[in-house]
Amino acid sequence: MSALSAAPRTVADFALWGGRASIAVTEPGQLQPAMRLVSEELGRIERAASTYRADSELVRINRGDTAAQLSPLLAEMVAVSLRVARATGGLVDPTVTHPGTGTWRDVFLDGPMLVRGGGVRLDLGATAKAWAADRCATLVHQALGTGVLVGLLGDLSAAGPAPELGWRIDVAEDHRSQDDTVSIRIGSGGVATSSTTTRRHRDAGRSVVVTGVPPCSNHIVDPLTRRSVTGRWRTVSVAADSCVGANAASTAALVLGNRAALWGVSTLHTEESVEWLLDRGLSARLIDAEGQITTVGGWPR
Amino acid sequence: MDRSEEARRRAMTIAVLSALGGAAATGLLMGGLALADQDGATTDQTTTDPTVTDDDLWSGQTSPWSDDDGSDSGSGSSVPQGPGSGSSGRTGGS
Repeated sequence: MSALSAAPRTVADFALWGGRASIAVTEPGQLQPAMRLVSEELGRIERAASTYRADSELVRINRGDTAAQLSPLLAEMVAVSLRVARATGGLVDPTVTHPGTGTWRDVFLDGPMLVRGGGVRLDLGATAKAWAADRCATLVHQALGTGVLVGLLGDLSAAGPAPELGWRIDVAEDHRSQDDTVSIRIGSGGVATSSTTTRRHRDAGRSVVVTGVPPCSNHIVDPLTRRSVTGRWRTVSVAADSCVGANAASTAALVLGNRAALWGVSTLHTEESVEWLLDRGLSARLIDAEGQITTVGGWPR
Repeated sequence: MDRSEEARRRAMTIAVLSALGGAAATGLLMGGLALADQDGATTDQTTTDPTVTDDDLWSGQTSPWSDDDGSDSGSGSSVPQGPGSGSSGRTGGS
């Protein structure tokens, strides 16, 4: 066995929820314990909030009375989704994925108590993955003391001390793709990418992902139209101080681009996504429908 | 109506509605929403932490850098081995 292969691994990659997940740690020897912690936590999160399993708490809640008491875990996830909806002015809305009525404004949460309007269903898909990355990274760091970077289907969150060079993150339009990537480094926080070049649909209760080129039916939904977004931008990557924040901003930027196309405004006005990101001090990389790249804030050029 | 007062009012409303249960709660909830709109009250649905403001979601600054910047990793030099020297993760649409 060579000296290289004998060295403890610090990065692991594995299949998750129809995509890829990864864990990287700074402390050799902590990778396996970290993977166990993350696996157990993701199991709890899936049982609470998955819309792909009939026995999840969220599916039961959506089928049940409009007033219900949630588990602490699901309550926290719903609270995050509503916070994101409020922060984005409804550009990211936990009620729009399902056909139905109402918006996030028809959902009320007080601690574990949830009340929603009739016909309003929750789908936490727009925020749960990023939130899970933040939660798992914090959990690993607090339990094991190691610096860690958790990646869940393209949503990445760092916690604890970073490597000397920072965490190297490859940026692509599809997190499964090995092509056309650039690399950035972060010392903390999170990075997320939203893209219209991938689409997801359900097949026999499973999540199936198809990669394509715009305009295709993708899983980014504009709450205004309840249809897949199109518009000037096809992919937006954002770095923020949390993965939830990064993911909310990348999705909101795509939706804003859709609004501009929807209203038929000029090219000048389609920069609204850029201005929205700048106003919030965010660093981002946007790719338009023709493949032209725009960087915002502190994103490396 | 300030933010904390609004949060307390909504918490009390939700507690009452929850005690009443589903169908009755839904009807009252819709009525309550109409009244809230007439009052001009701001929407503040998550009372879990009423001190959190919208902008807190992006309160911190995180600026990524690249090896090509030359300032952080020494452009053109060999990259030291160890955590962080290779790719640690990949972002992209899902």
